[in-house]
Amino acid sequence: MAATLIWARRMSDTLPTIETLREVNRSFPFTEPMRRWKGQGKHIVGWGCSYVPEEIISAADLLPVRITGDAREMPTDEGDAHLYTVVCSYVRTLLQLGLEGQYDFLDGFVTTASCDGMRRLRDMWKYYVTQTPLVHIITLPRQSSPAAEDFFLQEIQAFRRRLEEHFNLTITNDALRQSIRLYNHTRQLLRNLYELRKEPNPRLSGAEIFEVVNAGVRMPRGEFNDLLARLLQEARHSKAKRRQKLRLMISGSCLANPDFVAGIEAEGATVVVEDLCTGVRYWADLVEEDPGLDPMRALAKRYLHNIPCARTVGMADIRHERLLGLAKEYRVHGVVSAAMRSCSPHAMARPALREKFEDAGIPVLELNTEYGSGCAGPVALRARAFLEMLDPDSSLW
Amino acid sequence: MKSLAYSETYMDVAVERLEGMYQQRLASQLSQTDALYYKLLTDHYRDMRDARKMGKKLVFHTALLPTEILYAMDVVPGAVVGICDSLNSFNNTWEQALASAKAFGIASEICANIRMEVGTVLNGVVPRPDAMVMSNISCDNVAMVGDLLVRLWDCPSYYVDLPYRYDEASVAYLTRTLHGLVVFLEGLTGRKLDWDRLLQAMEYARHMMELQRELDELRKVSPALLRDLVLFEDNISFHFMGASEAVTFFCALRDEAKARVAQGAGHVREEKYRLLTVFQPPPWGWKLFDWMEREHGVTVVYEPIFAHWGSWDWDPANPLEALARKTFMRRLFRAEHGPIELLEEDIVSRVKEYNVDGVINFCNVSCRAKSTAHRLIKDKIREGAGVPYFAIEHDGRGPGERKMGANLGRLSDVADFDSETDLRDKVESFLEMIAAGRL
Repeated sequence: MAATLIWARRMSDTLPTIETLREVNRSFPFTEPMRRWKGQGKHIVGWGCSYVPEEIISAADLLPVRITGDAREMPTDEGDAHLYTVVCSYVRTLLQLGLEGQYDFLDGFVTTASCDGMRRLRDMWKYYVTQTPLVHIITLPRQSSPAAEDFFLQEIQAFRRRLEEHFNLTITNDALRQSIRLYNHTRQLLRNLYELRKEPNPRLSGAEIFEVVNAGVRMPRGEFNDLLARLLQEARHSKAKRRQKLRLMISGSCLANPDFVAGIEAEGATVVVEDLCTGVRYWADLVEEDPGLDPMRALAKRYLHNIPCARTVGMADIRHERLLGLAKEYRVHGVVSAAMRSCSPHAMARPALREKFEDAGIPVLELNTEYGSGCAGPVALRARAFLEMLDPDSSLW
Repeated sequence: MKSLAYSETYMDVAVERLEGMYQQRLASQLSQTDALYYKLLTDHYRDMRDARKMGKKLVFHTALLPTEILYAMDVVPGAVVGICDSLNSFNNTWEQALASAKAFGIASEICANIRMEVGTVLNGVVPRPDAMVMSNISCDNVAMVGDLLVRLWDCPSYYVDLPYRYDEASVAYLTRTLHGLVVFLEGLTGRKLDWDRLLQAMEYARHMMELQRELDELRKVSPALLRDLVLFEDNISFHFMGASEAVTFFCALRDEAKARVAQGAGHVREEKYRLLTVFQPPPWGWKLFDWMEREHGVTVVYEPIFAHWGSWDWDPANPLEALARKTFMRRLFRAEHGPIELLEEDIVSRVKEYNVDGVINFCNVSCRAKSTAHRLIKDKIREGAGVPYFAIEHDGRGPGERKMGANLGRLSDVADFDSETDLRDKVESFLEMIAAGRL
């Protein structure tokens, strides 16, 4: 309750666009924008990993939407029965929703071979979520060498051909370039929004930003860009300031529930940046728009050279450098490393990441979470204890 | 990351114990193959321990990496997970390894093999290699642990990236990656790859796989006679892929198997049930087989995944491409890496080919790659082969398994999730289901 009061603001303080985006999230999974899209006789393709180049889907005039869970921890009995609990709750939640028929509106599902869980999700979705006519998986290298980039290019070219064959359409390079511009615009708008979070007393909470990004992957991109632009205007003119002086980064893979962020913030901090698939990693780097560059090559470069995910091999130094750079840029006092249970990539990468942050003088709180969980009980206690040891007046930056 | 101390004592103990096991089997004269198996392992561990004294580079690698290039470069290869496992078993340091991994911050839900590896390295039980070759072959944990061990050891490394599916683009990518491995090893050793040696290593591997196919054919006899060989086969192909030792061993194994078949020297007098097993059983699984044979006339005919390959045509004019193609053919990669359609092909067709009555899946619940396939295997067997299926859950590194060479008496000493009585009851219910299906 306290968290809700603090982070939700009084109703009169809530920026109107935040409320609009919250409304989109409330109609999860088949949101109102998706319904309107389908109502026009158009198709929707769900994606499960942020390495999927949405631009290709969008260039085909298909609506790319991220397959996610809801903002709550949900029972996953059927997901567990099909997949052991040895894979993360994110994958089991997605499968659960698929088996329940909640994603029956999808005309296609695409993911990458990013991890064991995703590979098996593709297998399970193909055989058991039979309502989805197209299921595709993109091989994803774990490095960004020239050979890996060439190979990833071939993989996304194959994905493009598959969409063309299945939906009986042609994806032109012009459409791709247009789509790239559209998505780059999102990235720029989100960057501008995140710039506001660098202020000493940000006008938006981490939980609110969470809701913004959640909504963004559940609606047409043009519509989201308009809302983002409007939100930026509102935020820039807002007089609201967060009083909490402590500034945090959250690091992990996927989080679904803004209450998790809100709960941490309620203990006396503001989350100012997120190293998540649904955070900075989603928008960090632009796709090159050089007209002399093949747009598919531009996509392969951007997606493979973005801030590395924990699943990459031999790229830890690059990842650490970029994350420390973010910590400096956003002047964080501490990092909450929120890894989902049974997420091997993050679990294995965490000790080295912690060491890097701590060597730089940034304390780290390691939490094990379940997808969709909020921040209550022991998690809230640990967050509180962590914040108590941080010094808001520290001159680290 | 802090530098790690290492004590040679642990390797000395391992060499000594393996030598003792070899001598014991030699003296018992029960099985020539058994003795040969331990001789090869003894020599291998000695080579790893003494690599530097011999003027050779010690190059560790993650599980199941194709080692032909390493043998061709005349380095001493070592499969780090197998080495760590053996060192802990011989030195009784398993628990310390797991404790160190936990203290380091590796989550407890991570596969025990991986935690054991990390802890073993942290404890200085295993020597620091001159280089590490990592791969994602198998699963995320294998990919990530390689990366972590390289940071712990602060040693040169190279990563071999196995793509998801077998197609021409993937073969080209893997071939290019393997070429990079050659360049890396040439830089490490200061000498060029002898391509004739690589061809020889490939030929040893090809011959080994051919011998395995002969064994696979011998498994089709009734009553089935060769169920206890999967562990040997797996370990030998794990350590010696591309080495003459693999051929020596599999020739001996094939000859012994032929002799057994000729003599009808099986474990059961009357074969009542023929079963296929999927994935490697835990060590107490062998006791379970003994009981099943003795009490119920069950023969375990075949395990199609662990140490087996699909067939392919390789072109010696393009050895790296041939090696890339071969890598995709290992059925264990196909099962763990995907796509699932390959598992269907590898298991369901074998059910029919080996004329089995049912399938037991030794479902390692801590293995992300294998346990997650359980439901699909079950449904595909039911749809495609129409025989009963039974999953025996286990944790591959249960407490009893860690004591190498212990006299494992009762099943309940070591069974992970069921009591001995419960497990036998379940097996008997499964056999009744098979019998009912015949009526």
